[in-house]
Amino acid sequence: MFLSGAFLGLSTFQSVEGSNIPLRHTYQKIRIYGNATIDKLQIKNIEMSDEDLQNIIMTDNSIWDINTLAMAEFENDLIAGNISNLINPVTKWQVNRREVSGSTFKVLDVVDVGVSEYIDYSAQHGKNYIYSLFATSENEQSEPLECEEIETDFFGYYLISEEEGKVFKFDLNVQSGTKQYQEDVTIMDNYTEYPSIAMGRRKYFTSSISCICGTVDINGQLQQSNVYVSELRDFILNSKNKIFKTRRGEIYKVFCSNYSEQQLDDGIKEQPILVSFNLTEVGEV
Amino acid sequence: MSPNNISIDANLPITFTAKIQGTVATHYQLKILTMANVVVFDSTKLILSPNLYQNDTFSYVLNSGLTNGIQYKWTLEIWSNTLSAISRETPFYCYATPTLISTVPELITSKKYTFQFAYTQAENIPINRWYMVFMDIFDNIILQTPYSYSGNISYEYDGFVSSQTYKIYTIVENQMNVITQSPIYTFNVSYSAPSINFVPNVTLLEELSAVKINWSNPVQVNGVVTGTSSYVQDLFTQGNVGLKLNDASYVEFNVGIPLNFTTIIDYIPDETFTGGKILEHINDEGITYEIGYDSVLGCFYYKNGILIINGVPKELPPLFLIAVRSIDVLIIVNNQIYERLTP
Repeated sequence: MFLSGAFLGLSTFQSVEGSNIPLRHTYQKIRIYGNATIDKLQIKNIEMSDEDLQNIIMTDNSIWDINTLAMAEFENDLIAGNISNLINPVTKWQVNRREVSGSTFKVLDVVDVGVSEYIDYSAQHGKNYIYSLFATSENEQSEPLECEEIETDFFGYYLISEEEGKVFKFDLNVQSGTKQYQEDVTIMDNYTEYPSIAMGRRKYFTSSISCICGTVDINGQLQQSNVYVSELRDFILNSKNKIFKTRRGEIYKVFCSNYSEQQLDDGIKEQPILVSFNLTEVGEV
Repeated sequence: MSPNNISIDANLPITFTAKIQGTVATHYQLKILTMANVVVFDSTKLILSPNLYQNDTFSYVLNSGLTNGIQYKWTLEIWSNTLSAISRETPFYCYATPTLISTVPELITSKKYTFQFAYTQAENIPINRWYMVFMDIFDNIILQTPYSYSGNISYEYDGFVSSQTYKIYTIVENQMNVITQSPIYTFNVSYSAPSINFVPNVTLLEELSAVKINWSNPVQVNGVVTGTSSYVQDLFTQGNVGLKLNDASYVEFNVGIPLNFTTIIDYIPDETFTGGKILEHINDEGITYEIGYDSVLGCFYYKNGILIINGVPKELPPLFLIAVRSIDVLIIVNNQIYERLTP
């Protein structure tokens, strides 16, 4: 039996004999008694509101959601879990993504069964995605469990490290440099009217970003602590490839270099720091 | 000029091509020689009809007659009226086309399978590198393996989905740079796949320009009936099934229930129901949280440890929904609260 995430311990709440404080406990099993016909058992790990409970349509099939602990439809069986027909225990989840207009899934990652969350940093602005999961065991793989379609909508320049789960957004007085593509072209003069051209496969761009370093709080005030500046500096200079997203929704794998900080006026204690760095495209995301 | 330093199969027609440089070509002569300068083929001087001009492609198909396993060279002489130009000697090799086959079964009964391909070549030219391509039924490429330089063409694919059809082929490049593709093999996959009953949740994380997917962990819970029971077909609606528990029978589910919870169930007491327990939450230490109907007092009751709460006398409805929360119980009839048992 798999009960990952369930609460199996005893409650810390105990009643005082003679008092009217109700006993609150954790439980390990339930029993439903006859003489009766029963249907549609659900056990949730939340206390549902009166309103939600009164809105339940008894004949409707339920959906297993993030708060469901057990659910039995009694469709000629007594299954109350979310997985059945399993010979070996589930060991991994395979996380996939496809565009609504496409039919082929891209495998994003394969994570251990105890993991129940995945963040896709490689999602691109302006796309309609469908994510899906496969549960895999030693010799089996489930049908894909598809999420609802999601439309991505981000606006800004982002520098992301998937490995570290770190994201820096550049939005304050941001200026992007010219996106200069580097090619491998050799023009060879010969004895004819025109030269011959030889072209290699090289095709990557270099560019730059400069912006005021920091974040804006809910009051519209610039927050630019030394810790933040230091984190950004270390992040950019850590010599690892990163994902770079543009305001137009383009996405690239880049290497950052030539980082610089400029304090606009040394006479003022708290004033913005302008940071800038170069980007070199190093691969596909 | 082509072929140029490549390998071709002498058992197949060989096409010789060259690009014309000059104003006009009226005649040609193609010669093939061994590396020891023995002429094995001479077309003799023939008319080009039509004439060829600057940048046109000369093409000649030789129904071979050459021998595999031998290196040759060829030259082409072109005449423009009385002037002629002769190409440099261009080498090529003749080797038999390799064969590349597999015994892919029509049905695979596991999510993983090791595919093996057999490469053979008459002159024993070894493999340089190879890769395999896996496709779905619509020819979308699912996986193209990286180049392997192993002489053993073998790859284990892990991740076939049951009830799907796939295709596979392999490309091999041998040490004479001859590229060979295997036939495309089609196969079905069928095995007892786990059935999972939940929908993962997806959320846009705008500030991170990312998308979060979260899901429930697999929970395997099966009820066990003590006593006697049967399934009731077409309960409420056509096709819906319920569980009839006979008198003194119960169904038990082992499931960890936290402090805050809600348990819901549709309950239809039999006409012969004489009162007693309806639903019970049980702790391993023997602490129970029991809901029932007291037929003597004519009311629902709630018993949590030492605490017993009786509702006001009310008839037992013929069909109701019980919702048990950690500190109270609702009996709901026709989407209205019929009884609330609260300490």
